Amino acid sequence: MAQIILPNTYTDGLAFDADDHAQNLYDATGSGLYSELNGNLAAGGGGNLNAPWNVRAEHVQPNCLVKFFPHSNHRSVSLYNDAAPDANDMTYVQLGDTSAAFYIDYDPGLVLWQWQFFVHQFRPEHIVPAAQPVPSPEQPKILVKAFLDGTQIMATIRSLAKTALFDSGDGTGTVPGINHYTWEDLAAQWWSMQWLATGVTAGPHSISIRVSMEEPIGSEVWIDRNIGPLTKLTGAGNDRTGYSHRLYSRITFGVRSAVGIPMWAP
Amino acid sequence: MYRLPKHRLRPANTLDVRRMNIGISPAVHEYGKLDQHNFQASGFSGNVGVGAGAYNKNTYGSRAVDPDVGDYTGGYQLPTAASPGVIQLRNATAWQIVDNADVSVSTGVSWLWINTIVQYIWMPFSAAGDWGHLTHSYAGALGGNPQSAFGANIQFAIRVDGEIIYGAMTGHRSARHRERYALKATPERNFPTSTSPPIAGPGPQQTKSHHAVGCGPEAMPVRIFGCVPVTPGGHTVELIARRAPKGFDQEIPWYDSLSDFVALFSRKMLVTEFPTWPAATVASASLQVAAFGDNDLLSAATLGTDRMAALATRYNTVQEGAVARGGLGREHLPGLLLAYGAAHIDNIPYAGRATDARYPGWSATTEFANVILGDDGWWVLDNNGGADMRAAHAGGGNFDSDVASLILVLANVNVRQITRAGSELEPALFAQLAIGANRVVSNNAVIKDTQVIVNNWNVLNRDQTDAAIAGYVDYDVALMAVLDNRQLVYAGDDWQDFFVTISGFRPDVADRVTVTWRNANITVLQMRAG
Repeated sequence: MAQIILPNTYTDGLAFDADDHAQNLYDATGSGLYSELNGNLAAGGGGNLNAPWNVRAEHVQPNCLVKFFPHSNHRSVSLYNDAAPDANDMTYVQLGDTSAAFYIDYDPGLVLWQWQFFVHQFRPEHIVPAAQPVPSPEQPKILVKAFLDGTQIMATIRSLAKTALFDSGDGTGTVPGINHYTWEDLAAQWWSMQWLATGVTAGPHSISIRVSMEEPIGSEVWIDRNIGPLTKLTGAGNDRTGYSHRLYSRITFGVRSAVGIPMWAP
Repeated sequence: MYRLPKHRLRPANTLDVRRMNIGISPAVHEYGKLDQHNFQASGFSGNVGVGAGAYNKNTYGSRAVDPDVGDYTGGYQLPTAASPGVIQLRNATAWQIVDNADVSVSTGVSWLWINTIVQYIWMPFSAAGDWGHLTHSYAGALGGNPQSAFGANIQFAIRVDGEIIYGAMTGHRSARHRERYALKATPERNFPTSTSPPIAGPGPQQTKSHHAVGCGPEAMPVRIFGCVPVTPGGHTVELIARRAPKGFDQEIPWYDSLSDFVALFSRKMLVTEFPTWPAATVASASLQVAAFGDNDLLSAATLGTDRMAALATRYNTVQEGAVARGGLGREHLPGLLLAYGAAHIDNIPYAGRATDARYPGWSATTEFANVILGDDGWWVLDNNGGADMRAAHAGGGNFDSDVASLILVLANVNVRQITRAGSELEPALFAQLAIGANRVVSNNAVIKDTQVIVNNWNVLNRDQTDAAIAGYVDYDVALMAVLDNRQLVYAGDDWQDFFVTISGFRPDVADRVTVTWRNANITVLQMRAG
């Protein structure tokens, strides 16, 4: 029932019937005026709308179709491999401020997640003496991936390129390597990624960007003292040709942000 | 809201005008304030239309610019900055507006969702195929002077009403930012000495790494999103760009050559407004039913026709303006999107999946069938395991090309390597990627202005034998397409799916470039026109 059809008519000359009038106003089983307008007005054929009838902007309850849950930061942050688990540790380390989370009290259906960050890395290629294990071209891995509600999204895994070269010399500790440099500025990139989550139900949801980093194999390097500014820092005109150093991987993030956008998709 | 007569007339009641009026007047007052309590939830959303701009308003600007690299029939060449629409970015380190990626909108209280993309290429290349920057000589780097290898150092940002959006700038907040070598001297100050005078060891370790505050690779697309709440009025949304200042410990070298510049090619910006508190678009509807006064005649006409029947008629033809502001919640509303789809590829080995398909050229990129591996043309990304980067309609069927709508396609591809057999040290090896659309009648087409270029920036990598190797470039290549169904003449030719393609080239047709990728995903949103 949708159309209001008054069950009783009024006729001049007949006595006014209070019950008939009351039934015209409200009839729990019929089509009285109030019976319909209290939740029975309908759209479509046999309904109550003056066709053509379109939803207008002012009809829409604010934020009921789409919401934005943004989060961002512009403080630079660096992670080193000694503070990040290796690639086998699926917990990873969460990158602050490139995550977004929200609680939603209905089933939105769709959530578009977007995240972006400025990133550059110090991922060394370590040339080791022949006697030491030779790192594979993949090592040391630096991986960045997104986790949706705590579960990794395989399609978002990204590895980062090598950007530094360190040569350990001959391994004797007396003849340092001469190649040690970085082209990190050439590697700096802006990554803006996205993932459409479907079938999203009510509850808490989050995207988190996490990092894993392997330790450079044979991370003890014996390097020449002429490593640019390092020479200045020694502060001594010494007679040694190099110093023992420990090598790490580093990933540095600049401006970054993330947003979750629930979109009503019944 | 719910309304009920405030008095039920009974046979024993004295009939007076007040009792008569309070039985009728709540229904009169409700008209114009209807909300979700008045309408059936079931079936409502499927039987109403959505007015233009009711959910969202899309404003976009774009320009497709040919980098003029040729094709495999006429020969390839290095990108040039001569095509119409190229923007040569000033080396002044000040922000510069990227024309055609700037829009003006007039809003109510709203959220603006901004998606923008631009292709940059650090110019120029030398004719010899080497990279000719005075400040950036790979030959010098490989010859033992790696400090001469600088990044393009370009930053982009989204600016709204003159202010850069928080979290939407491609760099570090400080243009002088420098990180450290990830290197720590193990002896530091306690360097053991038996010599006289004692030898000072290095440390604490403070050696700074390169000055990386902007995008470094020579050729890369940059996509940025932003979302910002705005107040009523006009707003200007701009993509801005600059070459970031250089910065070193003791000097600030300038971009010292007129030939050392960055050019901007294809770009687009889509600003989608989601109203929060919009201005009214239809006149408010009201209902005039006079109350009974003392001594008024109660008759079939005055009660039946003028009041009860009038009310019934009006509630049987509810006008758009009869609904209260914010009166309809999601239970009564059609979905935000007309259609959507997504696809991804993953589970590809670390080494990646490759093709040596040759780039077919800018002018050929309108409509053609897929190519096969080793042929000339585009290659649809796949994982070699049965999955490819084709996003179909999630609900089945096709994306309707006849409905007024705007389709936004976002994709990301991990491009791992761009190589050529026999020579890994060339920065002038390129991968081209683009978004394509597969239509029911017309088959596959690649959308011209979605083409992006990346190059083999990482030629400094060396292996354990100190020999240069084909370094992984490990881009996350972002792509974006905006299709306005109102402007396209594809009526009757629906969109079956949207896909991502790839190919490669170098300025020598004879040598194929192998492009390797790994994980990727694509999202398609068909939004309502507005």
